[in-house]
Amino acid sequence: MKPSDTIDALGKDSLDSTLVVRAQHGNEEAFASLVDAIGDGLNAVAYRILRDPGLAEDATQQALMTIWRTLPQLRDPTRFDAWSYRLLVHACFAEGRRSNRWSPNLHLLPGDEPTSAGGFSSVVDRDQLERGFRRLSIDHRAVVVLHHYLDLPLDEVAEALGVPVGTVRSRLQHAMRGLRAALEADARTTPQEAAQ
Amino acid sequence: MTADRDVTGIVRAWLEDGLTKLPKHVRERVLEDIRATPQHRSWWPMPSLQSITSLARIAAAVAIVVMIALVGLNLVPSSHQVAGPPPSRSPAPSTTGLSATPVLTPSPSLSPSPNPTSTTPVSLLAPAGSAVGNRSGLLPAGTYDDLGVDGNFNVRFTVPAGWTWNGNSLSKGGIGQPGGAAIFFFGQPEQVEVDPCHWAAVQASPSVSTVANPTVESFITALAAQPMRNATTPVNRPMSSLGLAGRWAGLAVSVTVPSDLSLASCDQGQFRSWTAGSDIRSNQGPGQRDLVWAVDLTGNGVTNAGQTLIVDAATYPGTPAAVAAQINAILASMKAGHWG
Repeated sequence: MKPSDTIDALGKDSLDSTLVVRAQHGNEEAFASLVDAIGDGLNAVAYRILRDPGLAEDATQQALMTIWRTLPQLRDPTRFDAWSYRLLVHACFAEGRRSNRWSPNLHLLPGDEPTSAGGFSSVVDRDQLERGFRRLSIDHRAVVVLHHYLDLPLDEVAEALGVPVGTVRSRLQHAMRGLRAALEADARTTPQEAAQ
Repeated sequence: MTADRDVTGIVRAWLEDGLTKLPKHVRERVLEDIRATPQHRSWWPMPSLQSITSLARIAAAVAIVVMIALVGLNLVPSSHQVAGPPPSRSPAPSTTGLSATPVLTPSPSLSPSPNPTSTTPVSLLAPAGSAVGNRSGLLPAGTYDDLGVDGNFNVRFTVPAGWTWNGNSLSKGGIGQPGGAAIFFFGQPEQVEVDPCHWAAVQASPSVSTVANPTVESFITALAAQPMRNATTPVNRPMSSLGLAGRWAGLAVSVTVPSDLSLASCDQGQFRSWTAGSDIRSNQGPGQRDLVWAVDLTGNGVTNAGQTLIVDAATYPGTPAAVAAQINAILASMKAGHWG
């Protein structure tokens, strides 16, 4: 299930605010309920930003611990969603930096997998997207994931990331240009298209 | 051709694939770790369960308005108050310009507290369970406790007449107003901006790192290193301890906002210094001077690692020297302790 199916939209009363307030006051049971409510969504987003299950788990764990430590400093419990995604993206930054020391770059060689006439069903497409996405910075990846995976409007992405809407827009354009270029590179190199 | 394909649709479909579940072992580890991890308590009261219901919210708002009116009219005498002159009106904003801005010089030595020892401090918070919420408005002269939450660290200070408390800051003559002055309180800082004017651009640049989760020393150092700040040399400035032996270690620095700076030229029109939780320290305007005092509240037998108190005393163009002197007296009176 997609996080946006369970989390309406950032900044709205999508979570029980009393749960947040109880956790703010150190109630571990309430925090456990919060983890159950948001844990899957955070991990799914972390995985899509970092493209590595292990790094995503570490980032999610780090984000949840930061949420616990700093929860009393959250003034408006109804902003919990946006605030928690911001902390998650910060954790992804930290994990991303850590992973830069060793970054496996396996990719599927073109030629063995058929491409479809259109749409997205090709393994080669996936591989090209994967490589194109990994070339993006965490900043750009976060915008793509929050907007195209969580379906957040740009202003809510901006709130979650703590940057201006204009910055979000330009990052999204830059990221999509990069992904389009990756797919176009695929189109230029696949044997099927070369034969046409 | 790929260019003609729906790249957005392809990317969205690609993002749909992959794991969505948080592994059980991660959940268990987190819930185990929080038992040994203290929360960073804020220096302002957290929302209460009652406050998030509409009825309670309305009742609290009405009660606060009534309280402000009563305090403003000085109709609520407190038996705990320090005797002193009646509250006076804040001075009218000065139009003397930037040159009159007083210099708040961090001093490594604290002057004696003007607080008579025979008086009982007044809490700035209403009794637990009350729907009134914070005491706010014009404060009668006296000694006050700015209670932390859950009986954690508290700050005690003495204010002369004419100062206003708004729930998390003291002010006189208006925050950000010419001739005004304010003292703000922050909890553990999380990030110090590298460039307070172009903070968004810096944050957007992956090649530049902001100073995250700073210690007292790295916080003050990073603040002093911000461009355009004309910072003084950081000095040791401990805070007196109440009920505990010794004093809390601290550092202080004085920084400014350039008097010719247009905030409109800064990212989002904000001159940002640091963030602490959901609080963002954005300076009020050009010509502002901030004495920033960071105190490490770790140790002294109180085990709450990583507790930092930031006190930011701000003066604005035209702040009278007498008001600046009052700020220094308030800062000198401050004590932090751990009492219920």
